[in-house]
Amino acid sequence: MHLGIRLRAIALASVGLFIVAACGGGNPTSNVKEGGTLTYSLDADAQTLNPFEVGDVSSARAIQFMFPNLYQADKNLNIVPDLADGMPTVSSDLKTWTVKIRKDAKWSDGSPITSADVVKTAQIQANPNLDTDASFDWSPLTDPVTGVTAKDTNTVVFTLTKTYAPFLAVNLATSIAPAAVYGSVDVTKMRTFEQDHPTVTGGPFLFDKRIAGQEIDLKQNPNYYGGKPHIANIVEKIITNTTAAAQAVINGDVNWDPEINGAAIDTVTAATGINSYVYADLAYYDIRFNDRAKWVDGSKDTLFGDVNVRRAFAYALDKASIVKAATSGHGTPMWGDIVPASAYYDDSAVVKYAQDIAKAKSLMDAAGWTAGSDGIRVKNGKKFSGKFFVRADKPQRVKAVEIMSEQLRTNLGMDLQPTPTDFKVFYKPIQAGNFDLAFAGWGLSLDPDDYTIFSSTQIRPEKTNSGSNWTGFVNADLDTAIAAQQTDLKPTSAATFAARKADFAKVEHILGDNVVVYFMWADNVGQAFNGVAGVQPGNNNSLNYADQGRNTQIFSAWSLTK
Amino acid sequence: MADQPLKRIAQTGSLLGAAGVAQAMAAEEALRHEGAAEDLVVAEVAEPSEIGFWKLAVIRFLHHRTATVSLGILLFIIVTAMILPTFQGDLFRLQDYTHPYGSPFEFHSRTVSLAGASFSIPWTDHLLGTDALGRDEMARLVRGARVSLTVGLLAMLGYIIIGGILGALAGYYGGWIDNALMRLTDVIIAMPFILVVVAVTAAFGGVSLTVLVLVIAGLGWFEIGRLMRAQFLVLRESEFVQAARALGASDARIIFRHIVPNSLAPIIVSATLGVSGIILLEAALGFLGYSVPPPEPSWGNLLSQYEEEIQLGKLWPLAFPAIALVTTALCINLIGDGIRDALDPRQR
Repeated sequence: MHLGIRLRAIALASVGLFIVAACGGGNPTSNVKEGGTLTYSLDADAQTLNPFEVGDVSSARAIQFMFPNLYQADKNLNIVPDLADGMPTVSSDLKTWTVKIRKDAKWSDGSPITSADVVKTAQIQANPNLDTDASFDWSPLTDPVTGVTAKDTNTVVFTLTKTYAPFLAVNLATSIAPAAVYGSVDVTKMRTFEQDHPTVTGGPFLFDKRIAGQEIDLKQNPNYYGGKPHIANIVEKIITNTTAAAQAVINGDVNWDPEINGAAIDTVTAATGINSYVYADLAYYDIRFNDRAKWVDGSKDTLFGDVNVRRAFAYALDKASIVKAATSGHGTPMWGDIVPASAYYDDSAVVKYAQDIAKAKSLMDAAGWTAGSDGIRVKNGKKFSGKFFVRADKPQRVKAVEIMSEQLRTNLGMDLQPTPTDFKVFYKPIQAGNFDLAFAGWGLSLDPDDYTIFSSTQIRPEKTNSGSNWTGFVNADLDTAIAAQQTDLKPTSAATFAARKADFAKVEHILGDNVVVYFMWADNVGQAFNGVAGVQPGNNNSLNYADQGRNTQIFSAWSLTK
Repeated sequence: MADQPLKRIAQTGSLLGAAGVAQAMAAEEALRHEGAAEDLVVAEVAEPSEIGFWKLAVIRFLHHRTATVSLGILLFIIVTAMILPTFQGDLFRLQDYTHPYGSPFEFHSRTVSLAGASFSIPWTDHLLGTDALGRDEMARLVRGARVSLTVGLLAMLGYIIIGGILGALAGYYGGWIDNALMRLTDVIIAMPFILVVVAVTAAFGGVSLTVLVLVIAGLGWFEIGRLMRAQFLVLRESEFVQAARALGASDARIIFRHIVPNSLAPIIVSATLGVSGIILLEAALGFLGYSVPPPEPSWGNLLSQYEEEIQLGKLWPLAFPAIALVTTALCINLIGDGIRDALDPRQR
């Protein structure tokens, strides 16, 4: 999925500190075919095969077979050990985390994977000078270098300044790279280091060769600590057209298409001989308003700075039918920022706005916007007129914007011109704070932490040049609630879950009540397999864990049927 | 039928001066070629003073059957595009998105009352069906024609103005002006079109009709420019220009009274053929999402939802704009061929 921003920052189904769940790793069973080549489709060539540089979905998919994770997601997105030996132990003040590393793991050059590799990986990720598009947030460490230490060859200790609930699902569920290879690299030059050819890896499959723009070939790692894979080779084939990719899996040209959406879902699920899984994605879309009073450059008063106008916007629309039309029925309407795929999803916490056009009109009147002669509302001689930005390459989003724009024009007298914009320049006015509203997409990691999107410390460009809070919305209660969900770490996972769920309910209420953004929908996406055995979906058919490197061990359990 | 007028021309030819003979011969050639009606020929040839180059060209063109039929079709498209949307108003943007993809040519009977009697007539609300958002395909097609034709004609006007002026300056003055302008042309040719469109889009915060016309005109004028320059290079050395110069005519007079009228023919042909190129270019940009923003339709952005529609097996939302696009481009090209044949001096 090409989403606007991939946030490596959000927490997971349940932060199970003391639960040891079964690994997804594969034990060879009888009657399983050994060998063969699995063909896998990638929707774009990988930008990088350096694990410190992965900031886009295609690269995350390309690299996911090659590097081990310290912790990983199981099929229901609980965090379980991968390279770690058991769940981490936490000190009584909940600020010191100790992780044991398994002793049987080896890199592809035969050297053992030790605590030194984990320490170095964390230190590189935490280095503020690291040149990368990936966003690593290690700010809770007491120090980017001394905050992580190796107690012995198999024990790593992380020392934090505060209790930090997303730490396990965000910081510890990360891929580990060999210190001997990456440790000596100048972090300011990391971007180009082994960009297209990782020399030493430790996952179930190893790099074999690459034909730029066409394919990336992998071979099995016979010494993989999770068990020797059944499949001998993987060919990652680049098929940029999503329709062609779906057709290729139906024809048997590829064995696995990791992302199908829209109308192609119907085509694939109707095809015979294809195993397809359709589930709610760990991603969502919303309408970002500029909640400031003026554009950041001061050139214009914003249209949506007044909460009454934003509420009128919400009351004027029929969300369910818009989402159904835009996604051909393959989207779940949302009213908060926690996706239905997350265990923290709480339908009772969100604020919903049922379509009520009379109420919407009276809210606009109350905000001082009165109907003009041409039907477009006017205030102080200025028309309610602005640009509704949307990525031009995303037909579903453009369709949704077209429908909303027409509904708002006829129902409410808002003139919001749909403005499809090329992805390369889409974010420029939005990140500069000079816009009125835009359709945005968000890819999430395993934790629902929404600090970078909604905390007022992350307002871009006023407070930071890297945050993702483009709305400019400031609310002390919201900041308090967001801080609480981050720091509410309790001695048991159940207690942590309960405390954070209550915190998130507060966040959702404030976001919904103020219509800080207008939430749209979470995609239903699909994965399709032709001739692959051993794929285990989680609850609600979810295969979120078998994507973007969230779980690497499962690939050693998969096999081919023909 | 062609034989008889030839004799008459031959008879009247002796009464004319040398120029008259040449013109008559040319007319004869044209008529032999096209097999024209004799009355017209007699009238035209009998009064040689009226049959100038342009008039003759019009006669030749009107006898080019394919070109005239194409002109008829194109005029029909243009008139429809001008008139119909005025009556349809906002129909092109009105949505019924919960009932998308209405089928085309689906008639139901409808009762109308006329003079006290009731009749049942076949009726359809959406002759060409509806699109993914339930909008009337016919209204969008006709409205889209406006955008496509407007862009085609305005951008061509831009080509002629920019290319014409720069080409004329380069060709007439030569030297460093020529050098500078031709290097500028090289720069323009080397620019990656789509990247420029993306950059301009960013600068203007989105595409609009004006931006589209300016970008296409700004990047596409070089062909006309080079043609104009070539014409000027030849004509400035011609005897009649030297004669004018010897008589003390100013540069402006030489350019506008002597060279420009004599260089127009190839420019007109190239410009006509260029219009269809621009319409197709607009369609390509619309397909990529760089044409007029929604809900305004253009033939290009009507085609851009192809993927979903093919997946759903709904082909008419693609077929109608595709047919309109091909028909228009073909008509313009055939008209261009007709004009070229009519203006070709080698046929005189």
